[in-house]
Amino acid sequence: MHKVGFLGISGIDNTMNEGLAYGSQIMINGDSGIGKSVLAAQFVKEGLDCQDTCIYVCCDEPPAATRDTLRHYGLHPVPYEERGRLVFIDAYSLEPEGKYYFPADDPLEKFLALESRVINTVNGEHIRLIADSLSTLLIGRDSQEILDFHRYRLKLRKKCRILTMDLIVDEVIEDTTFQVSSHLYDVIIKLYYTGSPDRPVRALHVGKLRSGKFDSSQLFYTIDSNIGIVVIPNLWG
Amino acid sequence: MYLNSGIAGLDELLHGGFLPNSNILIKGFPGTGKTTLGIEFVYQGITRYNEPGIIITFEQFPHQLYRDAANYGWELQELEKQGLLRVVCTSPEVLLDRTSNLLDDLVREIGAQRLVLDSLTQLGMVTGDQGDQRRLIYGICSGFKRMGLTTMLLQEANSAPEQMSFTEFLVDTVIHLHFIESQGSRKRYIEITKSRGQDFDTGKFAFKFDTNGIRMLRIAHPQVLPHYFSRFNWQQKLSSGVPGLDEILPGGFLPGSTVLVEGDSGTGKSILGMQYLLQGFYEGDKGLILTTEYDADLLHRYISTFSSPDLAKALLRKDIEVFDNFFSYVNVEEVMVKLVEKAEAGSIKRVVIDSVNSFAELAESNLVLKGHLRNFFRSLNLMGCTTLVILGEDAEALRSQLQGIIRPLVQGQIKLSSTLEKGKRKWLVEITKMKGGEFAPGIHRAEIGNHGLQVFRRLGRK
Repeated sequence: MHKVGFLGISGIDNTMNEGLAYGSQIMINGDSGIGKSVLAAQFVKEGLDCQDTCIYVCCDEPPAATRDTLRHYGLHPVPYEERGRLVFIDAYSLEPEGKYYFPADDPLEKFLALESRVINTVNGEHIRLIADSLSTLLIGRDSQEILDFHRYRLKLRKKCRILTMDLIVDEVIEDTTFQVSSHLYDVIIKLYYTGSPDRPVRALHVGKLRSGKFDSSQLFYTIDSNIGIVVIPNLWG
Repeated sequence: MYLNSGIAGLDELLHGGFLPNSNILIKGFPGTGKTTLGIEFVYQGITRYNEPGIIITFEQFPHQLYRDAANYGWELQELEKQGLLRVVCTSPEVLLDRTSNLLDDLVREIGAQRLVLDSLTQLGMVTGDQGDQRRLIYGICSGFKRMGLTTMLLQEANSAPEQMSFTEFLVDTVIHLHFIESQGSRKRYIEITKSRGQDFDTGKFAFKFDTNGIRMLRIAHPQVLPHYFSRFNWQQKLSSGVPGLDEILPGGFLPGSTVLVEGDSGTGKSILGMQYLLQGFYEGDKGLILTTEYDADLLHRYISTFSSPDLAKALLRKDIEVFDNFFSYVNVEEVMVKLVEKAEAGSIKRVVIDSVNSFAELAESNLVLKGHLRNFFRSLNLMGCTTLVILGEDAEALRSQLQGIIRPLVQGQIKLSSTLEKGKRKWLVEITKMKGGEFAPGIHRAEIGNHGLQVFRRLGRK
């Protein structure tokens, strides 16, 4: 039986009965500050716990800040980096710092080539790829380029059976392009605020799980400073 | 069937050599190389084909002849001692004296099969009457034939063409030697205008005197030699050495092909060539580069900017041979012959011509250049070399002429270009032709940076 992957957040994993096949592509969509990167950190932690190799593309902050986030949620990245189990691609800094660097306004073809090179370089039978957030890389590019990029990239990653998680910030990508792009993903998890404006509550729902059963009901969650996203059980059934 | 002249390249023009027992007229102005050609014909006959020979000269003393021949390493006196050669310095009257039998005796004595007579012009001077001259020369030509000799008769071309013009009718083969001024330098050419009973290549073909004698500078229509096939793996593609380009051209270039790389200045043509050679170094393929824009030192400096000291190693170990004295040659054919010889001798697998524009500077005409390039590329291909031919920026008319000449001759074509977009330089690569190999069509992005040229496959469908 093939290995399947989980997000590492029990409240959400429970809604996806059979887990995620390697080669699946997950879109995490939500406002800025809603907890996408926290979810990504938990996804990485889960991956490393299950012996996967993780590649983290940092588009919104330098890798050092992402390392801090991971530490915050109980994952010490350096030993994993030293063993080649965790690799950062820096797509944020103005000057190259780490081993893998991509200037954010360079052609997307070049990004794809770098990502592929890193995938081919790392060891490991099962690889998780996280782009945090992919939408930042797409700012200022025309719709056709974005769609071509998405299509081609996701096909390549599926072919290599990479479990891919792309974080997309709301309203960065123009609506139609966003709609078409989202069709390309196997799983879509949407994070948002709900409740009254005075007392907003974080909520998420799994919007899509291609060829799998899932529970699409709204889940409330909170962000625990040590654990990360904790889904609040629906006490009312 | 044929008698090999032993002169490099001449037998190919005659499709094998001279017909045995024939009279060959060598005609040319002073200084065109008639005597050297004649001596070499006899010398090669003796040393390579064991055919003793006679040199008859009315114009030089033997010691002059020995000295001139020694320049080419031909030790005539040694051959005389061995009884394989006779050098006769005499006068036409003595030679023609029927009572002396000088020639008959000499032929019998050494079993001569080749003879050179220097010169027919002097011989004709024994009489002023054209009719007598004709009878005389006819008689002597027949005499040589009767004796079983294959003879070279040297005749000075002169400004009065009607003088002794009949000689061409009396002989079997006529070869003209020319020394023509072209684009500021003089070039030597050989031209066969007649050869009874055999086919031959027409036209003027360049030759030169090198240390071993006369050498045709002809990039001949190449022969398929069986050992070429065993030398290279014809199935194995050659990596271009450019990240991303091997993705667009799956696996790289086809072995034994010629690929034209076109583009303006600064689009990465030379870097592509260098990366291609360096990749060969990493894979154990030997490389050869013709540089016309820069020399080996500059090449080294360019390449070190993106490849660390690897090239230095390659150059030191002679894994990459640099041919950087292009402009010391006056014949484009000579450069091509030289490159083909180097490729053959060095078992070269990767060749870069940077740039082919300079070839046009040395060629007499585009038509001539096209013929030469066709044979040149084909020779390299047959030897298993994969050649990148770089065509750089030039005056628009000249460039389009060169494109017209070269494009049909090559198997692959890569176009490099660049534009400015929002203040940033954008490099582009397009493959427009790749016979026998698949490629990703469309315009792909590229970048020139610290790692040299990188190509990024176009997004979207294959």
